[in-house]
Amino acid sequence: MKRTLAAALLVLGIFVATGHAHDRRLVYGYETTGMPKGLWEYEQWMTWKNYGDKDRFDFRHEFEYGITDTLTIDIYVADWRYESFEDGEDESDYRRSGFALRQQLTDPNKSFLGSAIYGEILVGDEMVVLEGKILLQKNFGPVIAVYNGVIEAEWEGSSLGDLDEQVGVWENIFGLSYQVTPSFFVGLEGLHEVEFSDWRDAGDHVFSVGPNISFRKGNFFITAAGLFQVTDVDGEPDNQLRVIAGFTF
Amino acid sequence: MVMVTTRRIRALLLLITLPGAACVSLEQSAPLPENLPSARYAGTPSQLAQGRDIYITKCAACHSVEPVRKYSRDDWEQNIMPDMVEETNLSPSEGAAVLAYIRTVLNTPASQG
Repeated sequence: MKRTLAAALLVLGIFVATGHAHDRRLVYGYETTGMPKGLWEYEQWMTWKNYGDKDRFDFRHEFEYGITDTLTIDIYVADWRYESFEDGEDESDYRRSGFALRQQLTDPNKSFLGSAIYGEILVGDEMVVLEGKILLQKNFGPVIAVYNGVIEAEWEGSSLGDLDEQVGVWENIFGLSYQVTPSFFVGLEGLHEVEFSDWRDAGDHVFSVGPNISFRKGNFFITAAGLFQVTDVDGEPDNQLRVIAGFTF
Repeated sequence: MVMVTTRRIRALLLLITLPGAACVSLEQSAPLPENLPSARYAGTPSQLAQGRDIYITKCAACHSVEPVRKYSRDDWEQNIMPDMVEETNLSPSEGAAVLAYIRTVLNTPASQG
């Protein structure tokens, strides 16, 4: 556990020391703007979720590339998870890899509303995930407001040949970000989620909300958001914190 | 209970009015070239149009559209533009178009456009 945290801090520390910046004002929500054509970005994600009886840390190593000024590919090299249980046990495992494409349809500064579509496929030893999103963005001077509508289909099982569980997830993500300076942003994010077992039985509606903060310098950026569950649904995290740090090259 | 509800309503109203209060129009931050006097042009009309287009899209992908007049000519030419050209991967002609647009806005008093 301590080693995992030390490794995460080391990775973040390396990024801070590297200096220079691009992108992300929000953490859970995507903006409708993508990478400039021909530029790469590396992003390191860390998500901590507290469930009361366990802590879960999800890590993601991601590259983004601007294929055109409006089309971005996200390459998810590896998602892996570390869990620490109340009884002192812990476990970690590799989960999945994949990619996503984001196509901007309208620019938020040239049109009344910025818009983009996002499609993602993730494959692991025991799962396949397909996800589609519609991204909307409205700019009000230094404030941006973002909405993401998400539909996700997950198939899980003991192996790729035996994916006997299927779950549908519907998510609504809301984000606000205020530009204090061109390098520093603060805002709010909200997440609504409902799962459908076998695409039939709707689970409880889960709402989480919390603040976000973003900083960039040169080619480097770091963004963090903490969400608190305002509903009281068992099996869903009471609190969660996500930090994304990245740099363009 | 009533006080908590009132506080929540106030917070919600603050959130709703924040964008409006913070709003500076895009045309105020980055004036349209056709609204600027041609005698002040620091490039061709098509170059200025391209420069503004890049300014409000590529340059504003990572942050909000900054008012051009917020920074001095020296700031733009010596500090901001060299960094922005690199960070947004602009070609030399795109960088020149943005700079021509910025110079044109700075050449024009705010009362004229």
